[in-house]
Amino acid sequence: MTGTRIDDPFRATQFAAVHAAYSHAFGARPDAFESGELTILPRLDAAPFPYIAVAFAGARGSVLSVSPDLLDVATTRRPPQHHEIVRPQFLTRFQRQDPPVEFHGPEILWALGSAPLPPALPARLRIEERDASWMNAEQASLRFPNGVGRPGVNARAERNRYAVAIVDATGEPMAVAGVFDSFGLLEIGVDVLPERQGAGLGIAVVAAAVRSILERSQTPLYGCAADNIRSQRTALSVGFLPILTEAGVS
Amino acid sequence: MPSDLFSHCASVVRRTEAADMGCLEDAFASNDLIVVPRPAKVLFPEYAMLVSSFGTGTVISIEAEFTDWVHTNRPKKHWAAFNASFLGQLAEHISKSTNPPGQLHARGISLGFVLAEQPVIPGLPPGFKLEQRGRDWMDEWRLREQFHNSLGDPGEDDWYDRLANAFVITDESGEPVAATAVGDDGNGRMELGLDVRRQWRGLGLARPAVLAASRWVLDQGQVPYYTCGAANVRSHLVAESCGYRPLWSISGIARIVEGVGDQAAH
Repeated sequence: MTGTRIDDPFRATQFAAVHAAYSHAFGARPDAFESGELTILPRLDAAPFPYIAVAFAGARGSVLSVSPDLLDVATTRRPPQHHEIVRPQFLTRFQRQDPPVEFHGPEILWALGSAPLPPALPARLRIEERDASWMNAEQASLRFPNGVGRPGVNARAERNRYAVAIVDATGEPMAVAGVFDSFGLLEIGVDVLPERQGAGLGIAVVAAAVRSILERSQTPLYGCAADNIRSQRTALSVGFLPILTEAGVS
Repeated sequence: MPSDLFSHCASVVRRTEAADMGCLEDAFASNDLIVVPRPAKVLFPEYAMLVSSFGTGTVISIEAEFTDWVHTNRPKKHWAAFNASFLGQLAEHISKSTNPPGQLHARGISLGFVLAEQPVIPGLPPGFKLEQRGRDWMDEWRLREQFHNSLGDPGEDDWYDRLANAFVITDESGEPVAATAVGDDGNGRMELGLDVRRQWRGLGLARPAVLAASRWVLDQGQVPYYTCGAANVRSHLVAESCGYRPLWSISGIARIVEGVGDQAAH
């Protein structure tokens, strides 16, 4: 499926919502991701998570949020192009020895370019919604670490909202698309049990999750590591398009 | 279900990538980290090490004297071979092991794309023209350093020497404002490099240039492919709008050559 035009109203609305959420979360102006430049900002007192520096690179503008004591370092050596701020050689300038810090990323964030159709499922499988309590109880099993989160990691227990699962005739989940809050957006994390991979269940369960989010008049978000080709093809198949790249030092 | 076009292009790229990395094709389907010595003849000789993955297994191709270090320090998960910390430590080891100590740096992750469909080539805005241009044009405009991705930077002779054709968009005055150059890898695939000069962006010039070049490559019986830095969302969107889909990810450790720009900065 070829992407929608940049001026398609649905796509424009989805992209604007994601840009607005991230701008707001990090104290940037609403037009920061359309500015054509790199916006450098001090980390907010109420930062959404602890970090030394985090950068978000968009097609037409990027944002770097840094610990206030590093603002001078950040502004003295800007990359030639704004989107290069997420590259390790620029972010690792902010590394410290005490306590030691780690570079993470890059991760690609995706916004919806077009709404997916209802997914078709193999025979004897069906879609069910599960609530946040189920998600949090399921964390300990580690069967669906992207879908429901890992215990104690990234505050997933607080952020989980609900999950869309593809289940078999016994009600046993084969694939889970967990829906969780990210800056007011609803982000999707997906897992398919290894023995069920290769049958299109990942695309189907993500499509179902997207449709459930749109039915709730919310904005879906998808994220994956920059080298995760399979996840990127899942995103594209469902109708997502890349919107931001994230990397940081924390 | 992947299209026939995607399956064909993917097959050619997988085969040629395996040959250039010095591994068997099924290494990319191993769900493991496979380490192999760099072959004697490679497409990108400036790299001491390349890491490549199609999503179901990762291959490191590295100069033979460093394979032991990789085996000793191999990450637990195969995709972690792309981590900046692992590549940084490896770059430091290679640098210290070289006499005199070499200058190397770990490149960021690039994504490789192949065609899944062929959209219709859109028309150009009024006043703009699309034409094929040959070596004379490339020789002249390379020196003007306006088309870094398509023509390469000064000193990037390996890329420039492979250029087979260029599709150039000019404005009413005849000024070239966008270009897609095609580099022949000599193994069945051709890489596209795209530039749209800054003040002409946002006019829809990228798609016609890329689509025309893609069609020309297919007409030669070759497979077109496109790469961009993983952080380059704009370039990623151009690829997708032209019918390309991500197929594989690449990173590596390059020896720094004086005066050569950063190829991964596209």
